[in-house]
Amino acid sequence: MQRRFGRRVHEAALGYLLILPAIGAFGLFVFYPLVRTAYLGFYLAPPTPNLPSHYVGFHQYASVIGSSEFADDLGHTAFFVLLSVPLGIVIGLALANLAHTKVPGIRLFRTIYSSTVATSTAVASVIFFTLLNPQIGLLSYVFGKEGGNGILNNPHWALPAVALVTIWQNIGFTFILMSAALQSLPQEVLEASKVDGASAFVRFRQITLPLLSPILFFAGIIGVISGFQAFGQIDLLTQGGPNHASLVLIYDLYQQAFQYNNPGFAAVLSIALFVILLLLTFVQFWFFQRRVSYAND
Amino acid sequence: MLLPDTAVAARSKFPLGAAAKSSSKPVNITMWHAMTNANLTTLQGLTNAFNASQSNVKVNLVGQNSYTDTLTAYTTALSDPSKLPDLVQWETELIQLLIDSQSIVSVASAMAVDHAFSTKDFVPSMLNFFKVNGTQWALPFNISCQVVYYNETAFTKAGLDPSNPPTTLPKMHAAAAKIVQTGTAKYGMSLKLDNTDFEQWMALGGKDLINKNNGRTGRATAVSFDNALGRSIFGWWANMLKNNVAQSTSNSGSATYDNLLAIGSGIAPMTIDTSAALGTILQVLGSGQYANVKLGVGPMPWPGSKPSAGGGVFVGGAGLYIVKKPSQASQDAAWQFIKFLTEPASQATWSVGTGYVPVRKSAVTVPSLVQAWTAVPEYKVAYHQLLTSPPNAATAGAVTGAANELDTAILDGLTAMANGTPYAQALSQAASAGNAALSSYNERV
Repeated sequence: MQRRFGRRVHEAALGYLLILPAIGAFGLFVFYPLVRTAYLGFYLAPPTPNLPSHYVGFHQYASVIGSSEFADDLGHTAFFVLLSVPLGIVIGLALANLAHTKVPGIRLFRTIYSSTVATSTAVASVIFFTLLNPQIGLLSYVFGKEGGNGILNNPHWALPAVALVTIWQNIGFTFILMSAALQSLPQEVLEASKVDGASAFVRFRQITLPLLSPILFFAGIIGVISGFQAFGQIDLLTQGGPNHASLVLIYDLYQQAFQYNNPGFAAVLSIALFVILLLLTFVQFWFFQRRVSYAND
Repeated sequence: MLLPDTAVAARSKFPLGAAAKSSSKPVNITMWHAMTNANLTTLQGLTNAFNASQSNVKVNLVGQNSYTDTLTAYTTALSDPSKLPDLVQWETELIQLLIDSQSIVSVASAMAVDHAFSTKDFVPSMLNFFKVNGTQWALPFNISCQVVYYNETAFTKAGLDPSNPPTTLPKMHAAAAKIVQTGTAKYGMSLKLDNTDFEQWMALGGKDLINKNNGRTGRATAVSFDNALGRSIFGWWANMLKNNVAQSTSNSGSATYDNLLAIGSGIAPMTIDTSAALGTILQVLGSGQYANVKLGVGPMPWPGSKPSAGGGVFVGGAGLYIVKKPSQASQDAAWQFIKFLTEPASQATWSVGTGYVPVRKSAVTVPSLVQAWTAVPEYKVAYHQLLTSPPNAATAGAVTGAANELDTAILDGLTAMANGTPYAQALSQAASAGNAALSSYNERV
């Protein structure tokens, strides 16, 4: 009995020892900065770091989170995520489904569809910036908005345009995910349903989709988290404009920290973003956990 | 709380001559700057000349590529003062932020002991910008201002006098309308969505942008542009867009050249932009790509129907600041280099090589500059504008540590107006956002 207990402690100690490096790295690069950032929010930051800062406790947290500016930021971020994530997944899934055939030359299409994953956000943004230029941009003419202000300076269309760039970028990633998932589907289930006389549509809806649900769930979480943190395309396309129409939380954070030299304000936004994403992830896990069915259940 | 410089001077006199008396010569100093391309080449040339001309000081240039990057690097270095440079080229409008950082030595303290040096030959409006609360904090170095660029060929085609660009905003509207009416171009002019022109028109109208004499006799606590002059500027802008005689162009990224490109492509043959762009514009036109363009340059138009008393443009560009380093020799060395860069001969070389206007009145008699300006008289427009700008609080330009946020507030107002918001409302919106920015900054400093 004592020998078994001693071995358990020994195994536990070995376990902790093995994860210690990872914990150390996380602690140094994730947990410590997180705590320091929360702490930074308790101070009114001076315009330059060599000057004294004023301690205000929770006052800054209250005033920032209660402000209409924060509510607007959240609204824009939510709208942006709702636009870009579902569409990115749906289009990626549709293309993966279409490309999941044994037609000669399908490899070429698969390469094209997944190619957007190889472009960086900066490159994609610069390309779309040119395409959306009011004077010479192809997309401006396609959408009938050539000349004048342009789509990126239109308060109604600026955020959808930025979402478009994000969707285009996400398509490659979701296509690859969905393709891999489709290829790993158990073929005997699909063949059985074909024998039973199910149409392609019914097969897709009743069998393929549920079997894909873990991957869809994964893509959804990743999409939402990266959507909330989308920065590059906003910085290159609209800089939060026109008139804050595309000012998402992370861009406001960037402006406060680096353009207005107000790291205290930015720290509050940062913590708020962390809490929101944490809550959203819990919600997603709880909500979808019941609907996600795994193949070996 | 602005530290009066007299208190600083009383505590410690500027160590004039410390570089020459230093035990380890040459005194090596670092200058942070934001110059690139031709400007960098010219600056390097001047620096090499300085280093070769004497053995007390050796200047090492460190390029930060842009004013924004200089700001970031400098604020980071403030946490570790050993990383600060000895001398920094700093964007004009962020002057108050640098003063508030309490990390610079005013040139006034150097001038107080350097009796051989006089500011009489400096262009008053350029010197004035860098004077806050009675203290001359820096000397001007690379200066520019807004000018009107237009296509003389298009003017002739529209029946306008190509050698007389519009000198007032009402005349500008009329000229733009004529260009559209005669079918010469789709729009009369491009109006870049940027806060600079609005601020310049406030100064041209002789009115302060923010209170406390544009932030120069005390820390500004509120904006003062939500008045008749501000409304008339916004109203004019709104009318230009509503009547379709002007198009809006963007200031973001590469789109910032759209207003100039529109002159070349014939969409809108007139616009307003910085005089610092003149060199590049001439280079592009010289390539022969835009054979239909004969460039004309004119001064900024008055906001009213006639020149405003006490009105004038304020400077853009940057000034040179001495950083407060523990070494007395390096402070003196920085001062010696600043004096060199602002000498008439250096300014003439600088102006010829870059297109910035000289900060010294006697620089215009230096042969190289005379030659350059005879060949391209367009360079004289910006200089003349700044020379004739009467020195007062309005034409000195606004100073506040919240300059970036204030710029955004004004830009947001303009954007709202361009997208259909009634102009008076858009102006009030800009004013309240500006007030919020100022009070938030004052809370923190």
